[in-house]
Amino acid sequence: MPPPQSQHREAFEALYRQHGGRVLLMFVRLSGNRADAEDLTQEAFVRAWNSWESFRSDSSASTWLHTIAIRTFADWRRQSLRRPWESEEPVEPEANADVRALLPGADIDLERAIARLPAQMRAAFVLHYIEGFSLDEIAEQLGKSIGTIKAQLHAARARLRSILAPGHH
Amino acid sequence: MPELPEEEFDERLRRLREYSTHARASDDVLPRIRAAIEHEHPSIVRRPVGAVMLAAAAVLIAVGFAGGRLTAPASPAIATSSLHPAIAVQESGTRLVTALDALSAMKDSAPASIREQSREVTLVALGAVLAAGSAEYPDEVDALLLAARSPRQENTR
Repeated sequence: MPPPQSQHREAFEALYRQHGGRVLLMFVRLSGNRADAEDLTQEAFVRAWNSWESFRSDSSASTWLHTIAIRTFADWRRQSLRRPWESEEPVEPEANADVRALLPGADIDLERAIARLPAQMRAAFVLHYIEGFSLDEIAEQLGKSIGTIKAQLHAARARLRSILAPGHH
Repeated sequence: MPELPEEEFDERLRRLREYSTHARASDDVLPRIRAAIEHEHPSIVRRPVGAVMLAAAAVLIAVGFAGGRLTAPASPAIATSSLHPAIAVQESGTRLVTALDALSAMKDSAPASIREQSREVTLVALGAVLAAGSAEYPDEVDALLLAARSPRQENTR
């Protein structure tokens, strides 16, 4: 498919302005820091530009963009040997400051609790409960079984409810 | 262990989903996307790796040349088959110019960590050329030294 011509640029940038914030926020939650999230956002939108024609034939820009975004994130994880899922620490408190900067009025307690989840559990939770991806999609993109994703979602909910319980420190 | 009631948790999660749709797009990222598109970079993740490889090749060439200079006096065969030192330095310098051009081309679109990595590799190559000990290195190497000092500031987001 040939790359889009210059007359599409304005529409594409409008798409960025409409959805770029949410994509960036998703990447902040997934990666744990603003710098990586901005790199990922850039990559996702460059990929979106390169497959602009496929968007024009689809009905939902949000779904199309977020599908590209999750693939971008999955590739980013795979490409770096320095990011093994199992050894990754929770990402607070940097992510909280980044989320606050992007989203004044956010439920900081809940954001902080999500940031405290281990990386893989956090990714499954964010992609399913916040971004609305199906278990099949998440399992495929993250290279895990559906059973593993289900177990992580269950554990994530339990952990978050515990962290958010009154009196928890 | 106490837990937040299920209903309350689901309500907070619903609100989180709702307010996430209001996140503001970053003004910092759009210029980088424009630059990447204008340079027709198919991927910002893979492209800088090419520049790193190019710079690394320049290091090998430069270090190899430096080694040749050191051993040449003890080996007439090498000395007679080698390029004149000034020409060899110039060839290394030309390759480094190419590497720096690649760095410059990607500066607007590459992740900061990759830019830094590439720049450091190129600086090592420069050092290797200069370590060859020739006072006759070409003007391009001078230009490289000047250029290599500035990218860190230019690329700071």
